[in-house]
Amino acid sequence: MTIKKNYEELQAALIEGENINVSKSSDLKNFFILIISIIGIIVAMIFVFNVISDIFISTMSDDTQIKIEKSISIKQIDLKYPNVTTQELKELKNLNNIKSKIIAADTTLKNKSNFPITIVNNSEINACILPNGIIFITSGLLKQKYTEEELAFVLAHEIGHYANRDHLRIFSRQILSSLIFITISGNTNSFDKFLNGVTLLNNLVYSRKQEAAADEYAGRILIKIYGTNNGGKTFIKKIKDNENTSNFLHYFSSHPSWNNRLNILNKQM
Amino acid sequence: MFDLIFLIILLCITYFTGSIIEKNHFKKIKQREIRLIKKPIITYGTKRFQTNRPVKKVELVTGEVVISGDYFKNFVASLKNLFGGKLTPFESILDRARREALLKMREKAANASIIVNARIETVLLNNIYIPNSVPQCAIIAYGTAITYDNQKKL
Amino acid sequence: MILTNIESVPGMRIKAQCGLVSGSTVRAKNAVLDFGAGLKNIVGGELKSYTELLTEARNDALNRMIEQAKKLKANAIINIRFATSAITSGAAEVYAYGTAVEVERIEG
Repeated sequence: MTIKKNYEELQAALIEGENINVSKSSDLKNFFILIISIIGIIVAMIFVFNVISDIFISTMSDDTQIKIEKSISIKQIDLKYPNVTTQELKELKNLNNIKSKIIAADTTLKNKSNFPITIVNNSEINACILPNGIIFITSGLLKQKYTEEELAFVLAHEIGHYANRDHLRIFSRQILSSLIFITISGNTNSFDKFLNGVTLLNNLVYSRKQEAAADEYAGRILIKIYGTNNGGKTFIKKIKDNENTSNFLHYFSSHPSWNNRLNILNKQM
Repeated sequence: MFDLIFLIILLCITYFTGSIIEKNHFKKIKQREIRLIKKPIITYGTKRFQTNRPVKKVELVTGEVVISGDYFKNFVASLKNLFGGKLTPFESILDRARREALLKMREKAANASIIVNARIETVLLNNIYIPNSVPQCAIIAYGTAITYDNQKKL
Repeated sequence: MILTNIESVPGMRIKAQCGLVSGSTVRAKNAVLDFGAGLKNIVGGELKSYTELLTEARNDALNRMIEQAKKLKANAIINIRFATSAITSGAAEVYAYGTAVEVERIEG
């Protein structure tokens, strides 16, 4: 076997020269391009999906709303509580009276749900509504001895969430986040956490909007029933003063600041 | 939030350590390749080797190496997996591993005159079907080293 | 025992064929090695402990093949190939096979 004359020189030139098997593009540059494009895609996805779902939910007919609610909500829930005191039963009756006034004031709520009210044994001042219209009120809230107008504001606020179809909006956002998780699959664990943060932020921004809308709805209903929304104002002021001792948590997480909420009600008058 | 900060710090550190290790490795590989240019010469795919010169020694020589990518490279590659395309971060790992394995084989046969029918075999250390398995490149290089007897005349 | 991965043994003549011989070994990564390698994986570079493991596995496979060839009264193995497979994650099989032959030196 013969070997080419300048074999050594050619080999040396190949070794010292550029590495053909390795791409010239640096990993760092790749990294930034990929990160930016992924963030861009996620933001675009969230934006487009939110716009589409908002349009869909606000233009949806009542029949489809009820159909969707039936498919996503808990079918059976035991509303009987063994330790309900006579005092609480009295208050429950009172709440049911206020509730029927609210339902009568808003004609769009007809045929949807009769909003059964349940008292939860909890010292926190809190209320929430389930997607199928069941309202929960804590015994801590009832102990505060709020006036009828103030209680009407609490109930109207919760019913406002339902009337604004906020439960469906939250549902659609949950679909969005799971869609993103499916797209960006399991082999990037740390990246999932980062994504979680993005969807959480998106939820918070929307939740504040929803709370403001529910407050506005409650104010409007109060004006319709009592001619004034003072009940809402005094309720918010009381909570604001008590904020250090009790935290007003909600089923629909974050709220706008108390001052903002007062401003919304002030504007209505 | 803490997770994100930890991730960024880890990425920064592993980027610098990884690129320094890679640079040094390539430098060493080049030096050794230059040293071994002449002896022994390698041929690939010569199964029917014929020679008229007197042969002193025939032996199988092997060289093996396992090389892993750093965290930064793995992270970039996992991002790249979403879009597809060239997995450029792994190119350098594979190149380093193959050249290192060949060099180890050639160094073992430093006194031989020629290595005939050199072959490179890749070993799968991690199951590629299991996600999150760390990319590791294991290579076995082997060939037949032949030493001629220079004292004997033809 | 003379080992080659070509069709002949240079300088020698094949007197008789003895048949196929093979040797295989499955090696698992152990937890201690794996821990060290896990740390090294973050930084990158050559995994020395795994390289040693691979060398051992290759030696084992070759030795087993040589043992078989000895039983066949052969004195050389030609056309040796290595094959590998991944049975499970964390274990590697190294398989060596070749043709056992009887060779004799060409008298010059």
